[in-house]
This record gives sequence, structure tokens and C-alpha cells, in this order.
Amino acid sequence: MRVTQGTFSYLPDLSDEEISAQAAYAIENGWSLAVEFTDDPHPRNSYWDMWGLPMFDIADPAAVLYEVNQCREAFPNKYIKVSAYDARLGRQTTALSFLVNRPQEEPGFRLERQESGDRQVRYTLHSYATDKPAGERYTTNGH
Amino acid sequence: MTPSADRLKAGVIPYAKMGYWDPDYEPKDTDILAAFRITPQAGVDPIEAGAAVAGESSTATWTVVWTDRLSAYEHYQAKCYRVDPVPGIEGQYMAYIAYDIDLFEEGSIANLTSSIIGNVFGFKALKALRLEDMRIPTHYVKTFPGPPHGIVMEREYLNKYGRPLLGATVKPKLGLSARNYGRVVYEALKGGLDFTKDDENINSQPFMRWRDRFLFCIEAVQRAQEQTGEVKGHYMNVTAATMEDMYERAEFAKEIGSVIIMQDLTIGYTAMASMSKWARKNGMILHLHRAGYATWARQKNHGVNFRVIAKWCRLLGVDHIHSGTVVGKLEGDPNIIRGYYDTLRLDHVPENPANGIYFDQDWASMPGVMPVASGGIHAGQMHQLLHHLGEDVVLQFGGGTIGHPMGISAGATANRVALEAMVKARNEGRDYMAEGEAILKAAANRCPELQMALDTWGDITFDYESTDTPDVVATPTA
Amino acid sequence: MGEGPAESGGPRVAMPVPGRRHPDARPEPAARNGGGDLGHGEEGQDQAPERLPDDATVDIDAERSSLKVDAVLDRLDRELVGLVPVKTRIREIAALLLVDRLRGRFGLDSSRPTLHMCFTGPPGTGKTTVAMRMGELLHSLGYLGKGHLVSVTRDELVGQYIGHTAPKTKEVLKRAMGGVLFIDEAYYLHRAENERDYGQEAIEILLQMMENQREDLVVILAGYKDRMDTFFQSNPGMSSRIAHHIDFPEYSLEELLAIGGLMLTEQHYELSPEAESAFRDYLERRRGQPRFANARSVRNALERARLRHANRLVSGSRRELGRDDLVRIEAEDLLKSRVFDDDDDEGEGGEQAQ
Repeated sequence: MRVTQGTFSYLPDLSDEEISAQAAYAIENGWSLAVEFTDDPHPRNSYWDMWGLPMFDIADPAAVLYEVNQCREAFPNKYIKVSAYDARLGRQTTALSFLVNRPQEEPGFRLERQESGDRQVRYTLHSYATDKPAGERYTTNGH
Repeated sequence: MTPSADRLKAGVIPYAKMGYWDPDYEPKDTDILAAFRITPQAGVDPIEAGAAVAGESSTATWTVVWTDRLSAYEHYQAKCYRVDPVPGIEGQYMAYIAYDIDLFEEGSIANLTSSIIGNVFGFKALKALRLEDMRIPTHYVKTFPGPPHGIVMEREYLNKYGRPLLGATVKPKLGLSARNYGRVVYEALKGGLDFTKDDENINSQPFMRWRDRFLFCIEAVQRAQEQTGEVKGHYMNVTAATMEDMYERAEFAKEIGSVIIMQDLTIGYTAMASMSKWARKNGMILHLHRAGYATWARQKNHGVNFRVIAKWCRLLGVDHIHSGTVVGKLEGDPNIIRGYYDTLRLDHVPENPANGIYFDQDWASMPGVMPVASGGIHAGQMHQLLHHLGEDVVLQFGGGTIGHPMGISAGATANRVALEAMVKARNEGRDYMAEGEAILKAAANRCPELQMALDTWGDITFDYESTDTPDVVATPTA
Repeated sequence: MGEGPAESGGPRVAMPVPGRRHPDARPEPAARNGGGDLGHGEEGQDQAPERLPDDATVDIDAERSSLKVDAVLDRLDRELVGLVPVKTRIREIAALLLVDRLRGRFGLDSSRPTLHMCFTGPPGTGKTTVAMRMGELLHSLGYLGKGHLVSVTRDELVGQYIGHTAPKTKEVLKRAMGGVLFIDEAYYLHRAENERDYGQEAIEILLQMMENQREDLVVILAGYKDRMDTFFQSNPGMSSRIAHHIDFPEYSLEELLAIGGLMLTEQHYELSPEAESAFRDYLERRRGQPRFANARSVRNALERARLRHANRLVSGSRRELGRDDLVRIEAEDLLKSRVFDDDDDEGEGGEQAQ
């Protein structure tokens, strides 16, 4: 399956130039940029791991691409996203967020149903990735 | 203003002489201000008409009464401080009236509306009367809870940033049974929409009772989440005959795990305020359908302008409210709609007659309400929608999803691809308004669903003259 | 909302269409560095037009003026007095890069030239200013995304404890990406005598970045010539990455006077004829004294002259002043300097009391 989180997931995966263009838009708007990665794409996983600190004072998207590629090198088989943060009064939240890397195979999720009384079902979303312990997910041969 | 001895003699005195007209009055920062568009009957002086409106919406009655002397009535009188003729429309005037904050109960829209519009609209001396705008001072804003969550919190909850949200109302409006209803929800959400919606008149009818609908819809929502890895929602309509029924339905929606519920405007301000409190307490996003508003909001010369209703709803607290599309099948001049969207989303809305904003309004950090654009819009208009309505909006494509020749899921995908491609192009700095069709076409090259949507609906537009346009621009712009 | 960089074409990579492919089918891996949608000028970027046929010609002057190269070079000429060899060298580099661009238009892609540089010379000779103009020049020629300048010394690159240096250096480098990183007194990075010094780590990171991120970053080292030479001897890796060594000589007396003249004109002051010769005298003496910082010292001297000029007017006997009085600096405003005290041979503590 293809996890469609992030703002541009229904378009073809962004090329490096396209990532740069989005980063330039964020820099133009005064938003800081951050790279995050995870191996657990559950939709309620709000806290992906941070790849370094958010970048606040950069003038050019080259720095973002540098970090993205460093992260891809380190974790080629994890989900990696770039997030832009708007710190202005009245927002103080994420302004843009999109995926820049996916594992080769995305097994996705399983919906677990626990039937309870009166035709109600209690649902849980189980992500196949977490069947394996952290560090061994999405791999065939370690990493 | 000390009254003359004549003022207290029994009998009928013109309102303007009773203190309801005061051209030297400086509105206080704590006053609530209202702008009324008045059309006096022939022979009625506009100032007298303005004073009458002030009087009848505050302390006056048609004749002098001695019991007035038991109160500090100058304090409680509303003051009409300005009357301007409306340019280009004969016999119509804008009257500006100030109300002391003491007149109103804290945190009560029911009281605010009863006070301002409860009595005056049937007044014989006026041919027509419309409440155009209100200025709510910060002192009063702070007594209201505001949206249960607001735009920022909603996005964080859904984990969706940087683009408008997408929804669709389940069609046909009436008649589907629960299981088939859920099928529509599943297909639309799986295909790429963020939300689906009960229509305003789907409450709990013989052909589909609410509980059955909720159960099938949550199954559909969960299945779609499983297929996409995104947080999805279906606005479960909890509108019912009594509050007790509403609470029961809302509690059930929460129990089965819905992220969002909806209510219709027809339940009234008190019910809406109760639901707002409940929604915040129970972590539920609250969508409001403005059912029935056009009965009193549509005509330019009489009623209550939607922007005032929007203000009331932001104060008492909803997370979503239908606010117009500009390019769709329902009424909407672009500048007026811009005024609505600003009123709902911004923290400070400056006076701007071109957008129909009559007063500066400061919201004192009250979170914004997500406007919802729904009604006759389709993927081919994506560039116009993004341009007119911005990014913090829910775009609902009911017919535009469900009517897709390749199926509902395809319709949803077409809308999502069109939207993402347009946002991406905008961020890259392209003039997406001018190049909109080219951008859509390029995206459609890779997405047969979108290609088909453009082929099917590309030519549809709704071009009628708007009935509600700003005074400042004489020609309609819809 | 801001304007990002120019257009993008439609997506070119086959998209996995949700709901259409068989659920077991793997999505196509997306192209990244290669056939990206913005790359290779399929729809034309404003910086890399389509490849020219072999028999076409290019107008070198048109190319030059469209890139606004001359604006930067002329500004350099105007702002800085003297420095003829430096300016010549800059023009040469500009020519090289311009020709490289033209070659690129014919599809003759040679590898991107190394652009890292080393500016040697005493303080106050214009090194930072030239570095700034270099950034602008490289940006106008398309070699740097933004062309801004980040100026640092050793302390901003090196940490105080283990593990501190790498992130600190990388932060600075990221801020400089798309522009020029100017490292003043770079030789202080290398403190061979202190084993617990983390400067070496910063040097390693710098070397790596200078090699691998050449597209996004230009590094300019600066400092005294002799110390830089020593630094390069013990860091051959660094030396090999520097393409251009440019020396900024001490200003001559005439040049210093001209610099002073420029500064005065900018500030709307004038020297009386006596003041002019006093100034010349001042500079002659001051040059010989320690810690002379060329243009900076000239600026400081003029600042102090202004101070004395102001005090002279305020405490003077004449209470009605005209425009001339307010503009003209007299010889006494300069002669009061300690530089003229014959028994002052310790040098002034910095530039404070001159």
C-alpha cells in the first residue's frame, strides 16, 4: 500500500528540486524547517524522531536538502518527512509537512476489531511495521 | 444627557428626542456596536428611524412611562450616533448604534440576539431592516468560550498541514439505508477525501435511524484509515428534537470513536452553546451546518447578514461553519465572502467597506473557525477555490465526488490530486490563477480520474448576479 | 505569501494510482536526483536555457549584461580604493565563470570549477568587503543559490567539549549554504600544541563539506599571510582545496588618504588645507606604530577627529555657527592625537586614545 500522509502524497514522489522549491517557499515565509523520520507510520504517531534540530536561520534550501540526503543515507528504509513550522502569534504550529522518503515496501496496517455488545465494534489500527522490534522493521538484511 | 422636564410628561415623544439619537456620542471601547441598514417608510425621517431602532432594541416603548424614572435609563438606552445614506440606493440608510455592555449577559448569544434582533424587526415605521455588522468589544469576547478546538488544533489533531481539507456530503440526500450510506463514506474516504458529511436533514428518519448510521459510518471510517494511514472522519449529525437526544447521540459518536460530529443551525443558539461546551469537554471537532440561514440572510435589504451569524457562531463556539464558495451553485459575491472568511479566521479584522466589514473587530486571540465551502464546486475550479478561499478551509465536493463516472473513490482521488497539484504549484511560485487549467491538465496526464473529472465537468459554472453585494462597489462582481 | 523559485513542469514520473493497481504491486521507485521534474530545463528555467546547436553564436556582452555581473564589479571598483591586483583577479575569475556558463549552453559541461579561496593580508584591507561582493558575483553567475555572507571566527566553529564541535560546525555550515562562508584568522582552528583542542574536528568537517558540497557552498579563509602559510603546511588537505590565493597588500599612504577622503565625503565633512597636511602627517606616523589596521584605523582616526571638532565648536567662543563651521575639520582636531606625542612609544592600547 502507499501511506498517504503529508501534503503531497497523492502526487508522484517529489524530486530533489521539487523538495528544494518547497523548502524555498518555507524560507520565504520565515518558517523553520525540520527533518524527521520514523519506522512506525501509524496515523496517531505524532512524534517521529528528529533528525537534528530544526533549522531556523538558513538562507537557502541547499541546507535542507543536505540534511534530507544525510538522513536518507542513514535510514534509506524509513519514512522521512520535512516539516515547516510557523512561529507567528496566532499560528505557532506546523505550516507544511510532506514525505521525502519511503521504505521500499509498505505493508501498511491491519484493522483489528473487537466485537462488543450491541453491534458495536472496538477498533484499533495495527501497523504491520511494529510486528518487528525497532531497528528491524522494513528491512530484509539489517538497516 | 440630562432630560428636559418635557421628556417625562406622559404621552408620545419622537425617539430622537428621548435620547436615542445622539450625534455627539463617542462609542466607548466597552460598547457593543451595531450597523443597521434601514429602509424607513415613506415620510419617516431617517434619523427618527435610526433612533427608533436604537430604542426598540434597548429600553424604549411607544409611550413615556413613569417607571422609567426608577432606573438610570440613560445608561441603558442604546444610542444611535450616526446615520448615513447608502450610496446609489434611494431611501436606504446605514444607522450606527451603540449599546452599553451592561445590557448583555456574559457568554450568552441567546441574550445578545434577543436583545438586538428580538424586537425591532417587525417595527411598522420601517419598510425593511437588516443587521449588517456588529462590533463585539474584547471585554465581551472574553466571556465566550470560542471554538471548542479551532483551526490550529484541528490540523494538529488530524496531522494535516499546508493544504485545504477535503470533504463531501453523502448523496442522495435522503433515502439510503445505513449500510449503503456507509459504502459511500468508505469509498470517498479511501479515495482521498479527509471528511464525509451527513446532510443537514439526515437526523434519524424511518429510512435510516441515527444509531445504525453511526455504526456503519465508523466502520467505513476505520476501514479507510487502514487503507491510507491517514486520520479520517465522518461528520455524524447529532441534531435531534431535544437536547437530551442530542447528548445521547453525541455521546454515542464519541464512544464509537468518531473524531467529529455536526449540528444544524436550526437547533438554536442555546443548544449550540451547550454542544460547544460538550465538544470541548469530550475532544470532539464540532461542525455547524448553517441550515436555514438564507431565509434571513439572503436579501440585501432585510434580515441579518451572515457575517453577524458567523461572529455569533465563533463566539459561542463551533469548529467548522459553512461560509460560501464564490464559484459554486449557492449565493456569494467574492468580496462579501472574503469578509466572512476573514471574520472567521483572522485575529484582527480591520474595517473594510469593500468587503462589507463595517467595524474593526478584534478577536483577542480567540482561535479561528474553519470555513467550509460546499455547493456545486468541482475539481476544475481548484485554482479559483484556492485563490478566493485560501488554505484554511474545508472544500466539499459532494456531487463532484459521488457523481464521478469512474466511481466515488475515483472522484475523491481526482479532487485530491487536483488540490495537491495546485498547492504545490502555488508554493513553487507559479501564477496558479492564470495557469490553473494548465496545472490541472498536467496533473491529469498522470491521473485518469482527474482527466475524466475535467472532461465531465470542465464547462460547468454558475453565473448569476449576486443578490448581496457591497455598497462600495456599485456593480455586482459575482 | 512568498514567491518561490520559478516554475515546475508537470510530474514526469509514473504515479502509483491508489485503488487502480493490484494491491500486491510495488509502487515504482520515484526518480530523485536525475529526471526530476524541475531539472534539465525541459520547460526552461531562467538560469539554464536549452542547449544551443553547434553552429549557433552567443553575444558575450548581452550575456554579461543580462546577468548583472558588471553591476557587482563596478561596485567593487567604487567602494574600494586601490587593490588593483585583487580587482584584476576578481575580474579574471568572473571571466572564467562567464565563459564556463557559455560553454554550458553548448552542452560542453566541464566540471564545476573549485571556488574556495584564501585572502591574505593585514586587517582593514577590504577582505570582508571583497568576500561579500564575491558572494553576489557568484550568485549572479548562477554558482550560488543566494550569495549571502556568513562571517565567523574559530570560536563559532569549535566546541568546548567532546561532541560539541560537530553540531556547532554543521550549524554554521548550514546557515552558510547557498552563499559564502568567510572564516577570519582561520589558522586559529589548528592548535597543534593543545591535544584537547577540538579544532581539528572542525577542520575535518570543513574539508569534507568543501569537497562534497561544492555546489552549495564557497569557503573563503582569511588572515595574515605568514600564519596562513604555516597553517597550510600542516594542513595539506585544506591547501589542496583552495583554488585562488589572493593577497591584499598594505595600503600605501596615498591610498589611505584617498580612503579617508571617501569616508569624509560620504559623511559630508571636509578637511581644511591645514587639516589635510596634518592628516597626512598623522597617517605617516600611525602607520609605523603597532596594530595599524589600515582602513579601519583611518575610520577610527576620523571618528575621533569628529569628536574633537564637535567639542571645539560647543566650547568655543563663537556662538553663531554657519554650515562651513559644521562641515570643516581643522588641523587642531587632528593634531591633538597622541600619535603626535613624541614620547609615546608604547603604542596606544588598541585604538582608544588617539
